[in-house]
Amino acid sequence: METALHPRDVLEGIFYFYPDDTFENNRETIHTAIYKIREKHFDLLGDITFRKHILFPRSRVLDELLSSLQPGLLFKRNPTYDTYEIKRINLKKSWETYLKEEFIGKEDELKSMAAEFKNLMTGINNA
Amino acid sequence: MPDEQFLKEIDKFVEEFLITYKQNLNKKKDEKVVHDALWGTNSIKPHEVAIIDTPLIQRLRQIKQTGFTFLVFPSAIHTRFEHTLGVIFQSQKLLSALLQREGSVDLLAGKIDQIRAAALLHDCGHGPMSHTSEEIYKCLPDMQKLIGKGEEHEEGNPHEILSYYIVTNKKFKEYFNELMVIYEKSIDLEDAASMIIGRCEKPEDKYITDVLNGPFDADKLDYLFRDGHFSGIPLKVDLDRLWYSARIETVPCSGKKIRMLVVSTNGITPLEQILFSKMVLFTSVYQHHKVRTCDCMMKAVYRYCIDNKREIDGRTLENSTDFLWITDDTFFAEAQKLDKKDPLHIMIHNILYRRLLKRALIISKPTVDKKDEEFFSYTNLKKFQTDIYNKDHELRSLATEIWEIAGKPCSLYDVWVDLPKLPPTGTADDTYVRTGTQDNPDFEKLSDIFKVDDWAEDYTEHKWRGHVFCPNDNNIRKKISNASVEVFKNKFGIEFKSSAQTLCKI
Repeated sequence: METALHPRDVLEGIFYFYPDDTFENNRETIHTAIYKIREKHFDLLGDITFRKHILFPRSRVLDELLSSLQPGLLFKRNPTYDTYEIKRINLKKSWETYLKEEFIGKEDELKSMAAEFKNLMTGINNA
Repeated sequence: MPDEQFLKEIDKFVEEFLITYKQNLNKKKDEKVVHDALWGTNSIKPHEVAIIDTPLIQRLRQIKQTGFTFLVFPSAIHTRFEHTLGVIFQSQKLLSALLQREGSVDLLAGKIDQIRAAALLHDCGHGPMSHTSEEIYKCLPDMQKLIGKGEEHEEGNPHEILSYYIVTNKKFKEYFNELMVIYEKSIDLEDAASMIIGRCEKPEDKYITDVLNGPFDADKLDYLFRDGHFSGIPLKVDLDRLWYSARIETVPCSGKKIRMLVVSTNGITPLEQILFSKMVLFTSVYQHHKVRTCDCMMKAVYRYCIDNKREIDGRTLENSTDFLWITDDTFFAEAQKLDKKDPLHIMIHNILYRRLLKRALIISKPTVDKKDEEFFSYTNLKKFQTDIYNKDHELRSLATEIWEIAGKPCSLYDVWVDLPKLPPTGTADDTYVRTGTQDNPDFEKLSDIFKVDDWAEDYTEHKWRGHVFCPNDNNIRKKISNASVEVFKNKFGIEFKSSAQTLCKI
């Protein structure tokens, strides 16, 4: 079944519930994490399509979505670009303006996706 | 999985463009020497000449490499055919450089003809105006069954998928096997087909795929130079340096040991030159606003055909395979078959004779009011930039809303909201650089040395432009322009500076 939710709104929701204000800008880690979360939450993240590449699963759509979140909701810290910082004020505005309504009944799922993303980002880095 | 109808259509196409001309196998071909404007004198092997001489490859002479860019950059009339040959030449140059390296001869033994075959066939699935029509047929149901979410070729490039199914078609294989016997060659066609879509199942074989579908592949090297040269934008990449630094190495990455193409540290600069060239071409050529206008006008032709059950060259355009039968020439020739007052005739001739739509609004960082210092509203709009399956549908809804608020001053087919996708980045995560010593090699991702992709993303982000297009009539343009400002404000909270309209020169 097609979801009416735009995959970028789902990402915004994940970052809204993400327990930290920053995460590492490592494409392999981010793509691998979202790929794994997508397997469990296909109804919400199915539109973020992936290529099953021999190095790591990668998604052109995810690259574009992350890019589209900047500079309003995310930004990469200069000058190294090593870290993504979440813009809490704007994400709150986003949540209250439209996301909250879109995710009625799915808030818990978003929270668990955010926790999973955090675990995977840390776990994959330490592996 | 492809549906049965899709496979039948591929079968018909192969029959018409290859099997009908099977008699060309009766006379054995000689090697041919080709003079190329970019790469000079190169040779084509006899069995390759036999394939090139079939309509399957010859039709690529009628498909422009860069779509409608020739209407902006007049000399950009180079075709997929020249590019195809160029990719063979570039593959060979890269292979010749690799063969100079110790240990590479054994690894490449028996693979050179396969790589050249993949290069020769990699674009045989292109449709009219190359990527312009690809943007249309990628959304069609038969293509979505292949590249859509959860499907076998998820996120594949549509034209590569068509090439793949042509090459793996049963009749094609039979033809190819016959060819191999006649020319006493042995090429694994399945492996060549996999190379076209960048698929590689064996970690020890990735270096083979990399030649055609990798961080510094022959396809990219040819199109960068060719598109730059023929559009009149000189680009510089130190290819000698790149080839000198290229090598095949086994790299521990992602928990596996993968044999791939890498560069030594002195290959970093040419890789950065490649990336920068790509960014320049995207922003100044491929996404030039006039080129985007033409792309929208071709989409309008498609939409008109679907809405009114019209055909182009006898094709309904309901399936991706329909586009295989159409070339640039037959697309434009369709107008000649029609009455001069026929809307389809007018729409096609408007493109051909450059009676183009004009800008009514420019959407970009510099034209958006920074009252909202965080650019929140602008960021919100950018969700429609993402290349997801229903992007066109969303943008058509936006255009319809603008058109209605403007008081329907023209045909809806002449109003377009265009938010082009960003050029793909991520190459630096695929590229490994050999550090350390000869005896004790170490490898680092290019992105760990310098986050060149992030830098490039910033560059393109800054250069990115979205537009609203409408007919070249000042009264209509004013109405559409004002309606656009209203719609973007109401829907996304975006406030535009006056430059968003004045730069359109209404």
